[in-house]
Amino acid sequence: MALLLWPSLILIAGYFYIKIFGNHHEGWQPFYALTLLLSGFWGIHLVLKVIDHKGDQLLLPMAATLTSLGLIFLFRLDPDLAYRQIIWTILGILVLVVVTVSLRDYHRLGRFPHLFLSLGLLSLLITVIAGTRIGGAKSWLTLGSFQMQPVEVVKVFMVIYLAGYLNEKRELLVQGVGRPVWGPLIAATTVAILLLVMQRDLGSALILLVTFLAMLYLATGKWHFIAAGGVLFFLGALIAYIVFPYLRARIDIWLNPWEDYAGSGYQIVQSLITLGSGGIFGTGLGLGYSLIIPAVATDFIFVTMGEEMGLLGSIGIVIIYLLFALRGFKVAMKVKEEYGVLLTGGFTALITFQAFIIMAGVTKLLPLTGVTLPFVSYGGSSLVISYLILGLLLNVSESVRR
Amino acid sequence: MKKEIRRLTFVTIIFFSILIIYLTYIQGIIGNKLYLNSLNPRLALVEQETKRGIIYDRNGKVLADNVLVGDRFERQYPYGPSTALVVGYLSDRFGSSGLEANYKEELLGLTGWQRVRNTLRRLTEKPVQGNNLALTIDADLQRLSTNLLGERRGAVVALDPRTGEVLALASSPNFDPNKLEQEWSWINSPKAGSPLLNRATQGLYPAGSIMKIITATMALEEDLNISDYEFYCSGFIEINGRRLTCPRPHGEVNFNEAMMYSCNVTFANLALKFGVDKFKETAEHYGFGKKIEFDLPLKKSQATTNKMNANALAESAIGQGPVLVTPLQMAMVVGSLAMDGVMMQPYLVKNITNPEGKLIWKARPRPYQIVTRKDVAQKIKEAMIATVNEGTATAAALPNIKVAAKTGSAQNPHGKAHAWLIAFAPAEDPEIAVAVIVENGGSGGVAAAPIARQVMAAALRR
Repeated sequence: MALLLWPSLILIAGYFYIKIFGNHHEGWQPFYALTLLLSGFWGIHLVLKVIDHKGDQLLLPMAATLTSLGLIFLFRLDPDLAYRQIIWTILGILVLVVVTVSLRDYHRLGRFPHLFLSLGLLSLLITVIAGTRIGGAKSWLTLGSFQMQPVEVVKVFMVIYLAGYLNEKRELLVQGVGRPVWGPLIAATTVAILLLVMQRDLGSALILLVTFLAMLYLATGKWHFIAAGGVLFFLGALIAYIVFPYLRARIDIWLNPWEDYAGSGYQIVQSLITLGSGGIFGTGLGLGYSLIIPAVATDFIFVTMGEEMGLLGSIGIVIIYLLFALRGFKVAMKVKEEYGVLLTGGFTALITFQAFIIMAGVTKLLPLTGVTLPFVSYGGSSLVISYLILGLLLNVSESVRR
Repeated sequence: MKKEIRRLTFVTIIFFSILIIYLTYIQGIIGNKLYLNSLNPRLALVEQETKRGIIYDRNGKVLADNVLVGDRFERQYPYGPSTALVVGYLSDRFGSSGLEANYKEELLGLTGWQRVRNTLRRLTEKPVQGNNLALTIDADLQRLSTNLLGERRGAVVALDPRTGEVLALASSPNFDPNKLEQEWSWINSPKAGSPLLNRATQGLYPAGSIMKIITATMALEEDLNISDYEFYCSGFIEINGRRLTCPRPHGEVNFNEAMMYSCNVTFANLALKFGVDKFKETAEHYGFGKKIEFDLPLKKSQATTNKMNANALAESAIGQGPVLVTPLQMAMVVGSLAMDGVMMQPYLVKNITNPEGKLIWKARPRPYQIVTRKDVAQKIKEAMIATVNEGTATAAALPNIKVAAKTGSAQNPHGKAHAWLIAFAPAEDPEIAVAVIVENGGSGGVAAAPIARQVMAAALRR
């Protein structure tokens, strides 16, 4: 747990940065914020020690490092957002504590897969009907002054459902696609993805599909299911490309953003220029110019990091996510029973592929789909749910040692 | 399930490795290019906080400088319209062009470690100054060339064939970079005739008879004795039922006479005799169809297309049909003949000095290509001297100096023929090579030759 020193050092460095360069924010003392976060992260450590939780030792420090870096860059972009994000971080930490304390026997999740499915689909349906459109995607629910993105929690529900269902019906599924057990599985996933596409939340739809295919592969061990899924996805995407003009526009922007550099291609063109301006060593914290990019604090925060920490910094971020994936899959390797393997594999794929899709999207390696960078981007729903997932991963990893 | 997890891990590693490699490409390899992209708003900030480098001509005359207007620096161009298409312009509203755009990395002091040093200076609020450029252009010759074109559309290129230094690169119409904001709407009106277009490097014209230089090279390389043969011109030849004509039947002509009177029939016959492959090869040696590096964007000249039948070959041989060339390309062609077959790499920037005056980069003349053998070049040179003495290019002659030249009148769909002249002087020991085009000027010997003569005279008087 000495690894928690790294996020602590990052936070302390950030504190001094704010002290020296920051414009002060009314009602908030940077020192209190620092104390709060430090005690938060070390507090989890303490709680885990006290309850004798034997979960994985690396996942939490990696997540804390990402969040700490994210907070510093958020502060640099917009102190208001950073302070709000601190509250979300504390909330995330609390959720993590609750999950690790009360859900240590994660098998309890497996008892009602259909409950989670119903809850997930219901919240998506509500969003489709009554959702608010923010930044292209109609994926927000507004309750008074409170806004949340149900999709974040839906992804968790779907993984829990899939792990339960796949675990239960494994033997039958392996026997072939003709079996009736495939029906509910395909139907549930298709409905969820379609509801996401209707919200124009293509990024989440893609992540859900990738996670589904990864879990299906883990459960059945048959790569041709994945290949078939990939082909179906490709066909679906092709049809969608023809049917939905907004999707076509997205793909065209991806293929050549420079054609309309002042209009639809602006975001990605400026993103590439920003990354290029960072070069290898970066401009240094606060010296970049990425504020001109729309959604820089949420979807595009990786670009700010790339500019101000340079290629070395952006590769560092990528490597942290890769290590997170390796660690998560390593836990899955060691878990003795299959439900735990599916749960860990699914959550690890969910987090790392979401990170991959947005990092590849803002750099034009893949078409851009607006999703958050887990543990880093500004956004309460995303951050809290990321810590919830982390808690579940810790719980499964504990069963390895018990 | 262990096997499946291992494979999933493997796939994840591959995906993330691709991302890392791609990021290295974006930030490490093309990062600087992206940074210098004109769409980068960071450059406008750098621009505000940096005193741009000064641009000088070859003799130290100032072509672009910063003048304090109120509390900020403004760019001024003492030679105005005459250097506008080489030096370019700089404007808050309309960006930049020419060398101002292509060399902004140097002019703003953003190269390599200098960028780091200047960023630190900016942070500590010390003044930052870019590097100065010294060009190969002779400001007076440049101005003379521009004035000689006057109201007519066209271009003049003057090179030192020994080094490849561009002494003048004039294009008309042009604009006054000091009054860009006021003139912008006029500049972009259709009537203005595209004054932002540098016709010397971006204009693609049919070459007309000056292309016969390439045809002659091809023929002499195959058979040097051709210079002693007699040809017969009946005024036309018929190829696949289509006629290619001369203005009048030249009758019996030898090689020099065919060049002097620019006999289409003879050169079309020579091209047909030695074939399309040889023609293509010769044109490639002269740089046609190749991307040639230059300090300003340079269009690719072409001599042939992919499908070449006998008619197209005969037309290419006299500079019509698929032939499209830039004036700079033709100046390089004539310059290589002046140098007995060695084509020099053309360049515009002679050296770069830092704000303290220390030399940080210096251009080195280097050959671009050996285009042909010395004996072939000599034969063509003799024919070009004869063309000035008693052929179509008498108007390019200089007193007491031997000049070699070739005229062209390029047919085009927009009216009167484009008048061409390419020349070099002194013929025995060349110091200057020129290419002149006057759009729709008619006969090359009438419209283009006097301009070339005056440019060469002025250059040799220096």
